[in-house]
Amino acid sequence: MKKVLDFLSRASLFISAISLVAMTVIISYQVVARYFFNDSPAWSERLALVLMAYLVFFGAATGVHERFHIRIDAVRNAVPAALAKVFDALANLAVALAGVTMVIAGWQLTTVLWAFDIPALGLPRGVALLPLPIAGGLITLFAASQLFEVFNPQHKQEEV
Amino acid sequence: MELLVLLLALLGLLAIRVPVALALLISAILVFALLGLNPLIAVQRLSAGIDVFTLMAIPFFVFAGDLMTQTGIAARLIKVAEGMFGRVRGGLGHVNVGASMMFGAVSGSAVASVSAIGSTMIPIMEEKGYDRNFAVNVTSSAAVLGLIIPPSHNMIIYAAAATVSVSVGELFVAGILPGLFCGLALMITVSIIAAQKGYPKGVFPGFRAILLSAIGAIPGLLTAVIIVVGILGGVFTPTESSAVAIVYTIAIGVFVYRTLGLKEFKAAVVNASKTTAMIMLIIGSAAAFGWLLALLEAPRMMSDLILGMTSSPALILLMIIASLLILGTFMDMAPLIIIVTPIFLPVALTIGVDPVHFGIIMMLALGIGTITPPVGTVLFVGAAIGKIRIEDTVKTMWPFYSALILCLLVITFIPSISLLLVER
Repeated sequence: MKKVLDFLSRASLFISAISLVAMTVIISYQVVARYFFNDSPAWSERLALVLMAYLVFFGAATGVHERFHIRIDAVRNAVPAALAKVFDALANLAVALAGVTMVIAGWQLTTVLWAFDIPALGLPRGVALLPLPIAGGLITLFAASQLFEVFNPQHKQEEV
Repeated sequence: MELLVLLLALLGLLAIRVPVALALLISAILVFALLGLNPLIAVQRLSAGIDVFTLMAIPFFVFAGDLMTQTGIAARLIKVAEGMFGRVRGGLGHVNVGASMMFGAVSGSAVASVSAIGSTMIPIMEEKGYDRNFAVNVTSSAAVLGLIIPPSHNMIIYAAAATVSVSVGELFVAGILPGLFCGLALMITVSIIAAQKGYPKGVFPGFRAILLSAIGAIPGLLTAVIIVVGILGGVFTPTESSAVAIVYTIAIGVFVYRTLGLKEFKAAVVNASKTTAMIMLIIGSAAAFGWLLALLEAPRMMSDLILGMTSSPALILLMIIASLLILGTFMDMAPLIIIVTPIFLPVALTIGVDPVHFGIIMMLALGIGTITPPVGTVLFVGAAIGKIRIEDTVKTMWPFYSALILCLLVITFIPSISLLLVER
């Protein structure tokens, strides 16, 4: 199970990283096109902005699994161990709740907006929203596995 | 009532160690439900919050900064600073401040600065007899200068969150003199402490060595010139300039410095993706949270409160600064900019403060917040690199806090320091 989650997290980070590189290439091309080919492509900024949603939401999902999101340790580390365990359980539950909300809202937005096109791009607007439900699903999954670890410490993976 | 629930939910979630970005989002979701609104709006605001052209500069500046760290440009900048400041008492402290300012001018991120300069400077300083506390103090406070010295991705967030139109180019230029001014103040602080503690002088490397190190650093430093001149001259938009900075950094890393291979490139991409995802998720969630604050009329209540207490512009500014400093200790910079700009900027405009000047005030005030516990990202990274406990390093930090707060007051009440170079 841990291996599957690790794989999903790495795959998610891969999508995020590829999007970053693609965005860089597209916006650099836009500058080159304007000054050397005397052409200002209308699609480039739109496409880069769509890719940014992939960069952010997939990267954010990896962040839940690898625990690199900024969080405040001070209070959690100051309370007794039993209470800290309650905190961890509640925190993971809350993150899972955020994930589920992202899935539901993201899916609605994606399907509703699939009927409309992004101007100058010819792609359905839903394409830009698709990372929300998928990353939301991953976040829910990662948070659920961490919730499981709170009660089964022997499965605990290394804290990053 | 709902406002109180929103704030308490946020604090509660932060206390039980929910990531900041998700704590903002979840508290917004809860309050949407409480108001009888569809909680899915929160996710829609999150998505809309990052769907902004100008914000695209953030991943690019972060990526450029990570590439620069991988090319080892920090070491070259330190060499230049050594040539300039090394031979006075407490020389390495000055070198640290100088190198951090230069790094701030080529990258846009204080966290990148503290890790790039700190990982080189802190061990050297310790080896030469400086206290480790002092080394971490200097590196962390100097990294804050990177937030006001252009380029600065936080200024882009401010421009996006501002209630009136604010030009990113003007903000960048406005940050130059305040950045130099704060740098000078930190160097004076370093001198005073160095004299008290008897920290060593460095040796004069000779003009030839200084010249050589300067030549070695020029290709790197040109990044700053390309970005600032490019934006001001209307050659690129800020977003484009940040993408050009990436391509340029790759070019000098591969062809000039020859330190950037596939391995380093991959490390930079992965690191930048993680950092961007983290920052941008916070920005999006803060946008959802801020949208709810606006719906609950928090900005109006706050401005009524402030304007009802006094009509003196000076006192109002002091109150705003105090609030920014206090909020900065508890919260990270990016979400605060998104959330408090719509609250404080209208008040500042009412009393006649220029929005560009106010941006600089806010960058510095919230920047000081990045080196104060309980939440101080830059200080945390500095302390982690110096392998020292945060509680310990904070004990000797007060001269630096005082210097920066003094600078903040001077910059607030002498607007021309920020606005002198801004041409309108």
